[in-house]
Amino acid sequence: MKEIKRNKDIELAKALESEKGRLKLKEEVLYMNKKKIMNELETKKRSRHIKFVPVFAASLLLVFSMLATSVLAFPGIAAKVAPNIPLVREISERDQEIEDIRAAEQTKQLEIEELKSEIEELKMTIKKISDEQIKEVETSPNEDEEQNLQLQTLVVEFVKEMYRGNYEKAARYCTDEFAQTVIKSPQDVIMRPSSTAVVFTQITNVAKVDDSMFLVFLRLNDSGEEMEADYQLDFEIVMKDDAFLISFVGIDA
Amino acid sequence: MHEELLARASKGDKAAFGEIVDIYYKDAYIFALSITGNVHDAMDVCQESFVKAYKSLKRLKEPDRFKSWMMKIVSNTSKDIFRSRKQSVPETEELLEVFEDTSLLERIDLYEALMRIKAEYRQVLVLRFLNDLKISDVAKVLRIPQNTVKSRIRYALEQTRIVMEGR
Repeated sequence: MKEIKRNKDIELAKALESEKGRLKLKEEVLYMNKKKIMNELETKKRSRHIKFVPVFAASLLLVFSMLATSVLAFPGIAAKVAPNIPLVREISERDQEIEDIRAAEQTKQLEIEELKSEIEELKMTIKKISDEQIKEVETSPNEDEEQNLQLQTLVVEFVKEMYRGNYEKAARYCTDEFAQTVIKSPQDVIMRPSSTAVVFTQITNVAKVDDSMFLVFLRLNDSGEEMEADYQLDFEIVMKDDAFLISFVGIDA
Repeated sequence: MHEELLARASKGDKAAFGEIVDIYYKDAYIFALSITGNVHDAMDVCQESFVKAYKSLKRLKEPDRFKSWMMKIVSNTSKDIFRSRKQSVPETEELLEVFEDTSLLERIDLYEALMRIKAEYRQVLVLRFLNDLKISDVAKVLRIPQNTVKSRIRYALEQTRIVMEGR
């Protein structure tokens, strides 16, 4: 009976497989949706152009300001020559007010910039993890720093062993199931297993899914070239018998 | 594969990207449908996913794995858009709005059963059989271990068969 059911499931799998070539979308559906996608791409491009409009307007304003300043320069000279003329005096006073406003705006701008960089520093710190200086980004509430560092160290050491070619040793950091993938298919775990030039560029703090599952995202570069883009490893870590073990690693862009 | 098209598209050649859409839209759409369970929502997901893919093409390092990369984008986009929505099951009439009736009606029993099993099981069947991805790629798209993919496929086939037999 069990064998019959199994055979039926195999037939079902074959039927599904044969459907991949037979199932067809209506041409008009594909055409309409493709058109929407291509329009969306055009809109994005246009919206980029629209962004230049304020820049252009600001440039124009700057030119007019410069012209106005030039014009005001003459009453300035006039103020020295004939300071008591009411019109000249008023223009000089307005000129001073504008200067004061500009100075105040510049100060405010500097304060905003300082605040921004302070916020950035709070979010991103350089951290020493397993003898590596890695930029840490806080992406979720940091509840337990000791555990956070423990899990970050686990993933960094795991990656180091992978790039040293010590797959058996790296597998010791993993669940039994995932250890098999690490040993048999290291190319499914890291981008270039043959590379030795690995540079860790960024790590997130630990995100807790529940009491037994945690996520850490590590960015690294194994190309040996600075110009090459980094890639990301998404780690899934589980708590098993009071030990943290890597249960899955996904390569991400 | 379509490395040349992808290379051109990543340099901003929209015509080349249009050809990529022609080639992969069906796979992306079926997968999106398997997640959302709604023929119109699946279109929205595909539209946003292809736009995202176009913008991220320069970051694609292995063009020969474009399909699984694309499916991952579809998966993420579906989750982003439909996180809070309840799964729905499309009626045959709705499916016939988007698929050729000759290809669909011959195996409508199979598709109706497929749409009635749990989404997580339906997704592995769609990716593995209809989209022809390897087990390792299915695992990466869904971010689950390969053994979980295998067990889900077994269970999904069993569930689909049970639904078909009960009809």
